[in-house]
Amino acid sequence: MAPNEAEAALAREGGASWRAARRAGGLLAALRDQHLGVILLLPSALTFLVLLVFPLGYGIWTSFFQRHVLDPEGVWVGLGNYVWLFGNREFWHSLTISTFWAGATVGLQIVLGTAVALLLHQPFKGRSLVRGLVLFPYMMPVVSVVLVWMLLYNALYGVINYLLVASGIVGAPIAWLSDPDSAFWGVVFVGVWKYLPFVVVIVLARLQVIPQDLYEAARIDGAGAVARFLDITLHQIKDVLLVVALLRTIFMFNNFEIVFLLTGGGPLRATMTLPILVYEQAFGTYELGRGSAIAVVMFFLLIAVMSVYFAFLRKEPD
Amino acid sequence: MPPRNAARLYPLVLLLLAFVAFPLYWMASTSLKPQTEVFRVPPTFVPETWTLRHYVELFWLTDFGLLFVNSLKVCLVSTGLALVVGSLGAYALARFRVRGKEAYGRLVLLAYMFPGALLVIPLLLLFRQLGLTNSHLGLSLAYLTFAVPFVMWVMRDFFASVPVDLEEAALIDGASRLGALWDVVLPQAVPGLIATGIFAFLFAWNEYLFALILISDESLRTLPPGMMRFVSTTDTNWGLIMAASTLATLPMALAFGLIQRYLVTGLGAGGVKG
Amino acid sequence: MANVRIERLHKEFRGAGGIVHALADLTLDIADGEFISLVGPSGCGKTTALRIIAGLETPTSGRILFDGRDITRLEPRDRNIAMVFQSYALYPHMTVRQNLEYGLRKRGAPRDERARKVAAIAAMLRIEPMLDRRPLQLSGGQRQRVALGRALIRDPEVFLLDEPLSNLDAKLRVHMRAELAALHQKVRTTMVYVTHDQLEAMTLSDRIVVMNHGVMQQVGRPEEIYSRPANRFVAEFIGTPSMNMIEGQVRTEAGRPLFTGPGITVVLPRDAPQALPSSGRATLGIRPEHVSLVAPDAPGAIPARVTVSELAGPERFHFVAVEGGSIIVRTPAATVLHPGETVALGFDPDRLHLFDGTGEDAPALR
Repeated sequence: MAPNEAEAALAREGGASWRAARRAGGLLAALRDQHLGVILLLPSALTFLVLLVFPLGYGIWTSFFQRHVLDPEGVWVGLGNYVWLFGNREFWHSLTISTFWAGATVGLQIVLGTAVALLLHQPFKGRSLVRGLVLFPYMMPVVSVVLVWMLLYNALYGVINYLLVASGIVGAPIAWLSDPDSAFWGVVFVGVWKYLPFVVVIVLARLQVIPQDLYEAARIDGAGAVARFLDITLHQIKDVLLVVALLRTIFMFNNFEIVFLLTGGGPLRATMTLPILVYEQAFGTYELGRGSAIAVVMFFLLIAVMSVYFAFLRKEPD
Repeated sequence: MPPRNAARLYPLVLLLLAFVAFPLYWMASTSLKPQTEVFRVPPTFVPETWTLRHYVELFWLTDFGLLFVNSLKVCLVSTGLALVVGSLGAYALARFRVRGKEAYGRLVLLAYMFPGALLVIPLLLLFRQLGLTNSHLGLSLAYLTFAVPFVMWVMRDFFASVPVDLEEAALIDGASRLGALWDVVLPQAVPGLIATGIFAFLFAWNEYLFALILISDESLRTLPPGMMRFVSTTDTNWGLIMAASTLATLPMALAFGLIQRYLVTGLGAGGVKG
Repeated sequence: MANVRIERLHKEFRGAGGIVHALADLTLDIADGEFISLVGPSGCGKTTALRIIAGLETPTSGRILFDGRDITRLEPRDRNIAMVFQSYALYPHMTVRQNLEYGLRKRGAPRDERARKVAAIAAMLRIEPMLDRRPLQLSGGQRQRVALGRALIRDPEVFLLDEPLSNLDAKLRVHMRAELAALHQKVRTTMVYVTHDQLEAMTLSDRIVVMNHGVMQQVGRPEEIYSRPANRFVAEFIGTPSMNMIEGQVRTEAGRPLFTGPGITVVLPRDAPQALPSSGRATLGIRPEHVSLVAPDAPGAIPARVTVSELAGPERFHFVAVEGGSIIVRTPAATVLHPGETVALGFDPDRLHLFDGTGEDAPALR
């Protein structure tokens, strides 16, 4: 059949299905696959359009203006906000902090998470209870997490300082969150604590599907415990680790709450990540345009990392 | 190998439990200590005096009850909307041959990764035009920005795992396309919907930035920004704050207990966001 | 019950690699009450054809008629058909009873009618004790019966079966095959059966449709397909072990048609081929049971050396090497040959198949 004939056949098919459906007596019956599919997608498409695509465009538009929160118009400044941004030490400082924050939290989550998953993969009594408990930090609301860690970190009556001083590890209590030297690692620790369960659960799920006979074969081939871990376990979970690391990095990079609520970006901007800088510009100094410009830069960073992810998915179809 | 091995593992397991569970224990136990004991050095690891005073104060002296109800309202509405809108889309993505489906699927994941900081400025400006600031509905809609992509992302795999044969059998048995979805697919998907819904609820329950920016009316405020104000306004009454933190954790703990079996599904997909 | 007419059915799929022709120009008449099998290797279009009859796929062109009514564009639910799926597709959240009832319920049958029919079907298929269990609690054979019951309960005009036995273990499969045959004897509904297993098709069907690459190769009664395959593909696909194939030339010598292959010369029966292949290239086919062991000095004896000899219950398969390749010989179990032994083969001249050319689609010469 020539291509144009095929097209014609398809067109006939459309018309005929309509008529058949009318005969069969139901509007819904008329919905051949494609139509119904599109209709089911409409609500979500509408949501994306109104709540994501339009705001994204509007955000980019706003980044070309100097605009106060209460100012309905604003003044067109073209690329002015971006020029300001890229010439601004604060911006580069925050970009660095954000990168280190994402890198440190994700790196620790991956290493610790894998270790914990390996531990929970071993058989021992009470394992399923422990597996359940490990998830707790994840389901605890961020605000509760932040508040309890504020108390734990407290310089005067915090239990961490008490334990450190009592055991002689430090001489004097440390003001964890208000000392520029310790604040960064203070927030990183909380970030790791809260989101560790992700990595644990995903790695654990992957460990459980590694065929047991791989280990038996390696054992027969004379591989020791270390060799078995490196050659089999690590090899089997490396793809999962890569994907998790990539996606977690994006999330930690964009995370606003944990750091903002613990330190507000301080002390002395030691924990001033990009999302906090957006907040500060937009709602602290009321420079909506500048805040938007930073957010737009974050968006393009996201696009860049996601392209890497999609390229990876294409290369390794699950 | 278990016994010998297990003995070696227990110290590690205990260390892990201390790391994970101590903050939780500290939160709960502090909420049950009288104010004077909270500030004592050295701290008491088991409360000397047990009291529910902080919980009573929380409801009598603060607006915690109102915050809690407001949060519940916003989170339930956004979760419900997201489940309906997201599952319909997810089902279409899993089942239908629609042009551009793959691109749409990627857009969904991208949308799911959108930083809140990027959306909060335009959403504030937009919602102000539409009269949706200082509105629980408005905040619920803002939460759809992450809840809908999340539901679609998880439920797509879930629907895809329901055998197509089942639906075709229903079609042949006389069901319409939507009838087959209702009679056969949805009953299979219920556990997935519940687990996904709980995660979507958790994300909304956690959310701070939108709640802070889009709501300024005291009577409409939700838990996260409301609780953070306790730190400054009540002269850091830690017993009270820990009581609030414990109560805010409670619904999630209950929900997670319910769905423990399905956690891996949700977390696996949720591995992306928190 | 109904007769089914399939008219010039054509189906294309648009995939990433361009257009795939799943089904090309299929025309077929299925009589009322007939049991017909569509058989062929995977991807041959048999399942696509079945799904189009079911209404689960729309053909690119062509028509389907039930008793003369064009139903090509009707939804599955408007076609009074029933189908048994390879996976059984039992609704896991419903009990066996609810599974059986679902179709009746969807068609608005009253409660007492549903109860009556469920009882009748359950008795017929001997599944009464498990009516209140769920599919996951049943064995493979029980699920199979429930799937059959769910299809039978509605008295469909046409009964479609998509590889219904392929998920059963070998022993159960033979058993269910017999039950299925008995069932068809009893209900006499038009049945269209898809399978890749030629033995199932041979044992169950009134007629068989052999398909390959979306094209119908031959349609006919099982013995017809077996003894007079229309082309080399059908000849090789039907029968286990496969028909022996020897490629060579055909020429006429002294008025007699002769086939010559590597180290083999076979005198063809004078009346055999009406027309000799124009190119001279041909394939000679002979089934293993039509090859015999003969004395080495018998006329036309083909020398061969035994490589492997397999006992298969009441019979033996001998793999023997001839100059051009390997030939399988089927004998009673009592005939014992040893590897390395030299034997002589004779082909039954009345059972020779000659194909015009050497390709898969080489047509039989008659």
